[in-house]
Order: sequence, then C-alpha cells, then structure tokens
Amino acid sequence: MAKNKEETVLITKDGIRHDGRKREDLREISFDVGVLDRADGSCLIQWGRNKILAAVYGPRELHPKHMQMPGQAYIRCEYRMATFSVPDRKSPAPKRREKEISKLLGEALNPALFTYLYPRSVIDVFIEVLQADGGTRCAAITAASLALADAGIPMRDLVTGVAAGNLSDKIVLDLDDVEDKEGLGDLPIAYLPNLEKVVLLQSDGIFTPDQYKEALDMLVPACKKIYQLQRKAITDKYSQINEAVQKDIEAEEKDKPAKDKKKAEDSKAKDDKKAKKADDGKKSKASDKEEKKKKGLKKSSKKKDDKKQASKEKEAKKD
Amino acid sequence: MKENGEFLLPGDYICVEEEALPGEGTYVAEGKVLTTVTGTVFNDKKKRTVSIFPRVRKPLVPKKGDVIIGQAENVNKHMVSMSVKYINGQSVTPSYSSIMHISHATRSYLDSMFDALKEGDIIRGKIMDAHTLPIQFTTTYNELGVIYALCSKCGERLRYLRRGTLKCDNCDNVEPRKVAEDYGRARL
Repeated sequence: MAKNKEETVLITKDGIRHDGRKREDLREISFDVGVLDRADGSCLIQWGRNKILAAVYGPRELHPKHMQMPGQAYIRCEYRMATFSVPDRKSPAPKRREKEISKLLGEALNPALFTYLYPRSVIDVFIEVLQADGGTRCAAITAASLALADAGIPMRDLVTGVAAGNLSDKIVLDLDDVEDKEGLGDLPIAYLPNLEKVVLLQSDGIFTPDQYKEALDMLVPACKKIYQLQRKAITDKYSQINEAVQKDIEAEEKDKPAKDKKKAEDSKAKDDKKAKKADDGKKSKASDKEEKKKKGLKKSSKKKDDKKQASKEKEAKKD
Repeated sequence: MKENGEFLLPGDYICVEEEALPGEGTYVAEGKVLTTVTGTVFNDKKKRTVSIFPRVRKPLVPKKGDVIIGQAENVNKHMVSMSVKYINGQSVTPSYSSIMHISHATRSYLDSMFDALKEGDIIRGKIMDAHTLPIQFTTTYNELGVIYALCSKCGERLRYLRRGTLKCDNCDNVEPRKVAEDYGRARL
C-alpha cells in the first residue's frame, strides 16, 4: 500500500476516479432480504466490494433489567467487523471505532422507529461486516433498515445512507477504501427519504462551506436513488410471496368447480335412487315417510341434547 | 387515496387525514396518513378507516388476555416466577419472565403456593397485566394450571388422580397441584 501511495491518482482532470467511476457514480448495490432463518428479520447487502449482514431480533425482554426504559424500547445496535473483513487480520475485540459506530447507528435508526410501542423491551440490531471496502457505516444502516422492515417492526420510513468525499478539492460520491484513506475528507449521511430528514451527519477532514453544500446537494438525490433499490428489494421478496399465494388461490378456485361438479353428480345419483325408490310403490313410500318422521324426531331430540350439554358446560365454566 | 390491495412499504403515502382515519399499520405525520409496516392497503369505507394488512411477521408482544405456557422457575410460599415459552401457541425465544401471586393461583383459599405448583412444572396461564414487569398471570380457570409435572421424589411423570391431585405410579407419591383440565393431554 505504501508504494502505491504516490502512484495512485484519485481523480483525473476529466473527473474519472481510480476505479473508473465518475464523480456522482455509486458502486453497484444489491440486497438480499430475509437471508437468516433464526433472525426475526435480516438483510445481506453487497455494496461494491462491501458485504454486510444485518440481523434484527425483537422486540423482546431486555436484560439487564436496569437498562429497561418505562416509556420506550431500547435499540441495541452492535456493529462488528469480522477478523477477515480487512486485508490485515483485525482483532475481534470491539475497539473505539466499532463502539462509536454501534452507538451512531442505533441513534440514527431511533427516529425511524416507533419505540414507544414497545416499552421495557429491546430491539436488537446486529451488523456484521464480512468484507469491508469503505463506506461500511452507510451500507450498514441501509441494510439494517431493511432488516427492521423485514422483521415487521413499525417504522416511519426506511433509512438510507451514503457518503460523499473530497478528492483533491473535487466532491465525489460513495468513497471506497482507497479514496477514504487518501482523500481529503469524508462526509457520511443517513437520510429518511420520504420524510426528507437527516438522521446521521458526520464529517471528517477538510471541506469548505461551498464544498459542504455541494456535497449535501449530491447526497440527497443519491439517497433517493438507493431508496428505490431498497424498495425493489422488499417488493421483490414479498411480491414473490404474493404470487405464490395467488397461484394457490387460483389452483383452489380451479379445483372448486370440479368438486362442485362431483357434488352435483353425487346429489343427482342420490336423487335418481330416491326416484327409483319412489317408483317401487305407494306402500313403501308411506313406510319411507314414517321412517323419515322417526329420523326427524331423533335428530331433533339429539339437537336438544346437544343444547343441554352446551348449557351445562357453560354453567360449569361459570362455576 | 391509494387503492385497496396496493402493496406499500414503511413511510409510503396513503391519503390525507381528511379522507380516512388511520387504522392499524399506519400513522399520521403533517396531516398525511402514512404506512408503518410492509403490506397491502385495506380501505374500510363503512368505518372510514384505512389500514395495512401486513405481509411481514407481526412482532410477538405479550398483552392482557393472552394464554401463555411456561415453566415454573422459582416457587416460594406466596409467589411463583415462570419463564414464558409460548404466547398464544407461538414460541418466544428467549423467554419472557412472569410472576403470579398466590391469590391468583386458585379460586379457593390456598395456604401455600406449594399446594398448587412446584418448581419445574409446565404451566398454562393467562396474562392479567402486561404493563408491569415482570408480567403478571393467573391460573384461576379450569383450562389453566399445571399441564405437565414430574414427581418431586423420584422424577417420574405424574398421573392425574383426581381434581387437585397427581400421583406418581413409580413411587406412589401423591402431590397436590392446581391441575388444568387437560393435564397430560395438552398440546403446545
């Protein structure tokens, strides 16, 4: 890496970055919703070379008890980087950076959730960075909001995150690892696209006021772009379920007429038999009638018994 | 106004507040009715409400009147604490904790909680109050009480002898319990 430091050109005069992207180009983003069976909600995001897994559990009982809040749920967010997520092995112990990001992400998700619905409980959000390549906190919060939606937890809006950066006084979107380290500044944001609210804003490095404004002007449309991808991910998953259900319903409906036909045929057969019996003679008819009457009496008496039993049971319950 | 059956995500606009009242799965912000959960729109024109029929799982939260099943963990003379494993037949992991005072164990007077329950018993109860912590439950109905218990002497399964009494076939030990009416036959 040290050798490349002088060689890497972060951005050319034409505005082409070291990986061939233009200034306002995002990396390729794809989502996989509901990848974990044991979690209540989960999402795997692949953002360029980032791979991040987010899992949501809860709302559930919070231990230790002294952390329970009487009026709202506690959002326990844990951001963790796998030891193999970076070129040099990362120590598995949570360091300052991870603790800070955990806290930030929890606080950024808070305004999107109705925490007052679940007092004294906890909503656990676990974020595991499997492969890191810059901009993990933005990717993490994007994935976490999808996992929350997948878990069926009521939300005000989905949360979307992107970062802008300063590469030799040119503002660009979505920094990768090299740009993050070599560039002049980094400005991550998390945004509620429908409500148009900013829930996370950090900045690191050098930005002039004009550059700051320019960065924000680029970030908001980028967030809305990513929001469309998020929508597609959820719609794809649940519309598939929709289709499956609809197919089932259609299949049932197809079966129904067939069954009805069968029933009709059966009843016709019965009618025929009855007719035959009727043809057998008036005497048998009369006897049939008597039998029917008897049956009817029996039925009615049975019904009465049933009613009596039910009332008895009710009384027993009351006692 | 969004049409019936339209698929929406959290934060999506449904209608303005004047058109319909917000029902389940919706909320109001700045006079607009918005979605909170992923699902399809249900427009009740009689009640003039609009709600979301969720396509995702519903969070499992205990509320008053829910039937819970769990294991008695700590029994003393006046109280029992139970870890709830099932709420309305749905399993909860990890468990919720709940307690019951002796006055809610049976309808009649009880001298000691040990005459109704013992540690390790599987109990069915009904939530009386979900706003306290731990949750409070009761077993004062015929269908509530112990649904499975082991002998406190030898550990074998107890058999229903008569109302309020269980017997161990292995060691002939007879134990008092607040037994549910379907003891030994209950299905989770």
